[in-house]
Amino acid sequence: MADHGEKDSNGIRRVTALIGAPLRRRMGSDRVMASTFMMVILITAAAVAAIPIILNRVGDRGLFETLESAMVIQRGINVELEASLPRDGDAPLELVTERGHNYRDELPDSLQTIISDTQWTVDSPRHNQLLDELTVATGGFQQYFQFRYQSGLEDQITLTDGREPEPRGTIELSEITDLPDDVEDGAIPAYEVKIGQGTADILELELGDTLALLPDSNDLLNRGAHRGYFEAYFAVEIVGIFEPADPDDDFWYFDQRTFETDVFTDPDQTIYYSMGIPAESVLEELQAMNDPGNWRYSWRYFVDPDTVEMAGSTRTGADLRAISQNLGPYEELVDLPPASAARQMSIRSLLPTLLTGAERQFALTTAVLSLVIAGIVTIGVALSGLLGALVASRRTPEIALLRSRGASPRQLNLTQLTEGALLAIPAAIIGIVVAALITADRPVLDSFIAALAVSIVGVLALWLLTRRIWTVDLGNLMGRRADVPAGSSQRRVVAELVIVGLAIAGIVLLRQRGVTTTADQQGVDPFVAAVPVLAGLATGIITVRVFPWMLRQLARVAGRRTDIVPFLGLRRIAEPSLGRHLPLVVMILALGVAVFAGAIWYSIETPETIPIEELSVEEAEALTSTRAGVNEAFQEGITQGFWLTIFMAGLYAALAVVCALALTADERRRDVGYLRTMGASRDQALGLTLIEQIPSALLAGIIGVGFGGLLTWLIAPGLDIASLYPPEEQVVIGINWLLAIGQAFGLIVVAVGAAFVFAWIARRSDLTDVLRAGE
Amino acid sequence: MQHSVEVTTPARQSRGFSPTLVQTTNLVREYPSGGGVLTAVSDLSIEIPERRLVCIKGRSGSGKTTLLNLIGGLDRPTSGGIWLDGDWISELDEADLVRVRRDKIGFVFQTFGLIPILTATENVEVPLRLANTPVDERAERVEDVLGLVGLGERAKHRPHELSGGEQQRVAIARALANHPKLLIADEPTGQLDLRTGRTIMQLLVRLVRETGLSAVVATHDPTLIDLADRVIELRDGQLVADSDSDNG
Repeated sequence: MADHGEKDSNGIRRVTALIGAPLRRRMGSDRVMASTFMMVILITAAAVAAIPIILNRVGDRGLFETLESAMVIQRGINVELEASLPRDGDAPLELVTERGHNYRDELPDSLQTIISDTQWTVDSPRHNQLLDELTVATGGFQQYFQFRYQSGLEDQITLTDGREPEPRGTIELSEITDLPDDVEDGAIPAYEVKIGQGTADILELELGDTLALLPDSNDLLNRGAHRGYFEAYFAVEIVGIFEPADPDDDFWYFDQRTFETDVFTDPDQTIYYSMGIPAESVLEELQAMNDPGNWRYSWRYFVDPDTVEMAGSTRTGADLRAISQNLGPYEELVDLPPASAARQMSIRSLLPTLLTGAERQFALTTAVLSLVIAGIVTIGVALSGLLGALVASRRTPEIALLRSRGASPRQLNLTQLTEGALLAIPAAIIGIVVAALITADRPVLDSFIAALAVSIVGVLALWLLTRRIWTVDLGNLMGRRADVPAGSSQRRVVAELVIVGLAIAGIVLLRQRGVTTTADQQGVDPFVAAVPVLAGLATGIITVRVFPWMLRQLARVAGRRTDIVPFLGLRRIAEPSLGRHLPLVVMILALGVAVFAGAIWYSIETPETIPIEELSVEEAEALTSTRAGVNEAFQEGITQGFWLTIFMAGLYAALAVVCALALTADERRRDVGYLRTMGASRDQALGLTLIEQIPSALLAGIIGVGFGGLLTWLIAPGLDIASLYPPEEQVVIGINWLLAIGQAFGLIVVAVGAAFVFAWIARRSDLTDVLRAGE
Repeated sequence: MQHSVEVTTPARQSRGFSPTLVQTTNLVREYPSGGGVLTAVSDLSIEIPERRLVCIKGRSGSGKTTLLNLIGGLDRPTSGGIWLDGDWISELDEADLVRVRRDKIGFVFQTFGLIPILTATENVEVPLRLANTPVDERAERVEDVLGLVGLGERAKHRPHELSGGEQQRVAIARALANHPKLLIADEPTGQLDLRTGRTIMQLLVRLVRETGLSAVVATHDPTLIDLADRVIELRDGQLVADSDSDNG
């Protein structure tokens, strides 16, 4: 055992050394670059890993809010059966309970898992109450009475007066008051019932009152009943009065007729629907009265909003719709019996509609957050490219030396990829951990995939940009001066023209026909969908081309002055240099995405109120039909996305500035060192560093706000943010310029602040050390 | 640790002919090194007269560059004093040192120290811009010094478009732009071939002879040593030889 332990320990040491040595070497020799690269991968991986977690949570919370705010009857599943079930035995209602369980067991898993409770009601057909002629003449009343059995009732009501119903036998019609005159006297069956206090109040009934009833031949449940049934009176005697413990409890399933009469009034008459609870032992006798007609059995499956997840909502809705189709007509909560009596079983639920509404809102939230994350990833990739360029620049002498010693391209490729992977993969793993910490939730599979993709992109960016060093001629490489500005290759010019052309064409198409294809108006045209990214690239390219020209003109003006700081600072940043201009592009992209996210956030936070009363009926209906209502969870998700974007954009902008300063630090230190030998003061050196950042930051601020406006103009028409709001609120996506200028100002402060810190550190450096480094 | 020195004005006459431009008194420069102390310059007292080309020779690590940095006000002595044309520069604060470097000293480096994005003219303009010289005067002086080093026709070229010798001549022109009294050159021919190096030497000699400039040049180059008015040899930071030649 000890040997095994020692072998394992040696193995771990060897593997650690194998991985750790190159990592340690790189971190030691190129600490700033390696740390910055790891930081970019880490924060990008953290962001892209956090988004699926946030989306999952936002989806589940949004769905919960949708279902929780819906009525229990809307989100519940109600299975109805019109039948006359076997009623043998001492406890005939147990059969109803058992059948309810059986139905539940037969439901698909997607439905079984969201059901928290099951309840049933058993309702008799309707019966007309016989009213005296005076009452009928004065009112135009119609009073219906039904028997009802309901599971779990004993826990929800309290008998406040009288006693529990029992079998009653018969009663003489003469004992019943307020009957029409033409009713013949004689003995009729009688049943004791208890009724709710609300029913008693509305019908003005008291304990001991007796109602004469005649079956309603219009009730479809009575279809097939024998003719004599409709002519046979029977009576109910009120022996108990109860009150519900909580009339608003979900238990009642929005059906309060159990304890309170439903009253419907129209211009012609007033109709009363009342219910009484008879003794369980008379069920068989009551059901026998309308044989072979039916009773209505309802199984109410309560859905717990907490158990429904957005990930399974589509399946749940589809399963429910499929069952509806198989069982009977699907009707979205109508207060009528199933349309087709021939099909005796039906299912009723608004759950699929609720799920679809929530899915639509979630899709919108996802679309907004996806745009946001696409922006973040684009900036992250641009920053990785910048780092790749930095690393390539710094490694040129080292790689030239390795090549001169005989290192093959394969060896260099392998070294670079290994180093990249050793830096990127641990950073991505830490990014996932950070994502889990900041979201306080477990990462999902998509988080791992996204973080891994980021690390791969980072490694490839690093590899591709350094790869060109071992493809150029070694002689040129050895003789290359790092400070000699490189011109643009024809290939690069052509590529830039193509990107700008595609971006312009894409913008025209996007504005003309939106994101959807013209063919079916459903699919997304990938070219048009990529327009925002193309627009970003085109903005960057044009900026990189125009910016130096502008600066050269400014430098020419500054050249006529006697001092050096503006002249030399402007000349330096006007030079074509990837290391100087890529940070500018990153800053523009970062600010553009932040401004766009800010526009969405601000628009969501400040909806305008539509004077719905001033709209026509058609306009109001059209508006109402397209809105799913307020869902704060989804709005909160978009707000979180906004803040994440602002944070990431700020972080990326700061990193870009730091990278730019790090890239030019040695060159600047050397030049400043030489300038100080010629009599440059420390303040002049500080000014020189600052002036190299201020025009870039100002330009990034101006163009970034413009790019953010362009993105908003391009994308906003395709985002139906309004569907997150109630009909009376209108969301118009637009830029709040004060917010955008504030964001630009923040970027400028970050850039100039970072430059100031670098300059301050450089200001304190020893001149002889600087000159020695310059040598 | 900075030791105080007794500040007295050096004699204005040295070796009978020229007034003293630079004088060091018991100059010591120590650096912390690996827990100990490295003495780069040790108890060095020398005088450099005006209008002379002085070469400082010695092996690598002998203290040549340290001495030049101290004389040029780029570094401060651990103890001892440095007098330059009326100022005890070892006692000056940073602002006054900036003024001294701007007005009285011109530096030339082995790697030329040119700013690659600027043309030869613009590089020469740099010290004049640092001193806020008026534009017209600036243009005139740039033209003069570029002409003096023989680069009038290459004025619009950037450093990477010039040969090594031409770049060093631009660096010399830049060092002369402010009409300094002292030119400090650290291995000015170190990156040049023999022939170009000799041309640069001859230029330095000519400048000293024609402009009244003094030059202190650290070098290993025997050609330049042969052309110098005086040769100071350092070993381990100490003066081991100080000899005049009859070149002047």
